[in-house]
Amino acid sequence: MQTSNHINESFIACRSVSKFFGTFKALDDVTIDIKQGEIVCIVGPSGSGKSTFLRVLNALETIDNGEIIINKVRLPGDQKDVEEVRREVGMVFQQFNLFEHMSIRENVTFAPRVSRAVATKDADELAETLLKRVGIIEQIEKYPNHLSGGQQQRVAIARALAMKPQAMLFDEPTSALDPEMVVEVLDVMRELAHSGMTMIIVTHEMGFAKEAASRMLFMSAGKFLVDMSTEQFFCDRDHPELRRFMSNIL
Amino acid sequence: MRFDWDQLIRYSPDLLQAFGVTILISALSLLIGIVIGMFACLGKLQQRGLAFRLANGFIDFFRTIPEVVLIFWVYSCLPLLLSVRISSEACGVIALSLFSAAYLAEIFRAGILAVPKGQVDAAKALAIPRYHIWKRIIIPPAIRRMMPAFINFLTELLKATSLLSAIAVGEMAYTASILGAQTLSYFEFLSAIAVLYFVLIFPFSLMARRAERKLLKKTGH
Repeated sequence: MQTSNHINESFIACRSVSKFFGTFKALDDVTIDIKQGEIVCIVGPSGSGKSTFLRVLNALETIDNGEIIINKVRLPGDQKDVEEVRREVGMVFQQFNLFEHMSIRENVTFAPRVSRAVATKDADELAETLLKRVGIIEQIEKYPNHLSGGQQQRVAIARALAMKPQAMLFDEPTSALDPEMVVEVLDVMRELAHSGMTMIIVTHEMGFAKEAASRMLFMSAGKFLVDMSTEQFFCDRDHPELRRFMSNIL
Repeated sequence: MRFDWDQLIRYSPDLLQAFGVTILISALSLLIGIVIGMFACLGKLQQRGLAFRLANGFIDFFRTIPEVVLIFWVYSCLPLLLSVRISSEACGVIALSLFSAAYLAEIFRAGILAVPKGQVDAAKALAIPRYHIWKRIIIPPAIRRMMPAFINFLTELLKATSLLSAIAVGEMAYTASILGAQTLSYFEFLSAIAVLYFVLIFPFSLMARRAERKLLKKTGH
């Protein structure tokens, strides 16, 4: 494992990235750099391409134009490159997507065992540590459908962390949750942010963004219209589209 | 008219053997059908290309033509085409295997497509290699989801073996009609095989219903 990424080198670099669904342009010539340790929150209206942006970073969608370089691996690439990128970039989904037929323990240990060749015993220990960290250790032998949404999402975070990724993508991680469960997930994410993890988060939780993010992106129609530090972002009211969006959700 | 139990008892070894033939032909056809059906299913999942078109054509063709026509065709035409002699039992297995393969391919495909896309996305995002995604993430839930349809198909296949009486395969329906003709005890033999079919098939119907209920409870829709 090489650890040659210096703090200020960009960990993710997108160059003129476009993505079409049929004739619909989901990502429109996106160029952006994200450095290690940054906590980036992406906001914007639905259908603006936020989820698609996260999904191309993890090669869940292949891009039609441009290139993405993550941890020195270039996308689009072959299956080996794709898996290399995915090992270093974890993802958390809106709908949790836990493996429904596996226990919580198996959910967390499966990927390290088959894609990092971690021994079962070590994977188990890692899973226990991570599940303690997200506060679900008592449920380790249960199945996902016996857990609440908030618990499932915390397991999903632990599952992604078990791969020891260098960056984590969050696609509206609290949007499918009942209000009282949002906090427990955001607490886990806050703790993760403090640990220095590189995070890219699509969210509507402005309070969380304001407090945890170091950088804010506003996306509309497949482009990042605003890219600024969090302090700037929450003072800036000059951008007409951003102003309209913010007044709608705040 | 009275029910002649003596006839039934006298010929029960023949009926029992015919019962065995029905099961054996069903089992062989199912096994071969599963193997061919898996390939056809994989072909159809490609959505384009040569493998897709071949699989699609195969499935459409064998699902559309009547089973009896397929049976007669394999029995009368296939030996001519290949210039070999094929026993009627083998013809029966070939015809029912093709029939099974076409239906099972669609059942498998429906089961695989019913696995939520998010499960596969999550597995990919964890860099899980393709082989393991199929083996652990797609196939087990797909099997659970296809179980009711699969067991229902099995009952259809067991019933379809009776069509092989048309080409003189010694399964239950053919044996009963022959014994009936020989002894003029149609009533006894046809009633007997009706009961035998019921005893053979009904447990599977119950199983299919149970599998369906379990699935409903598990997936909630």
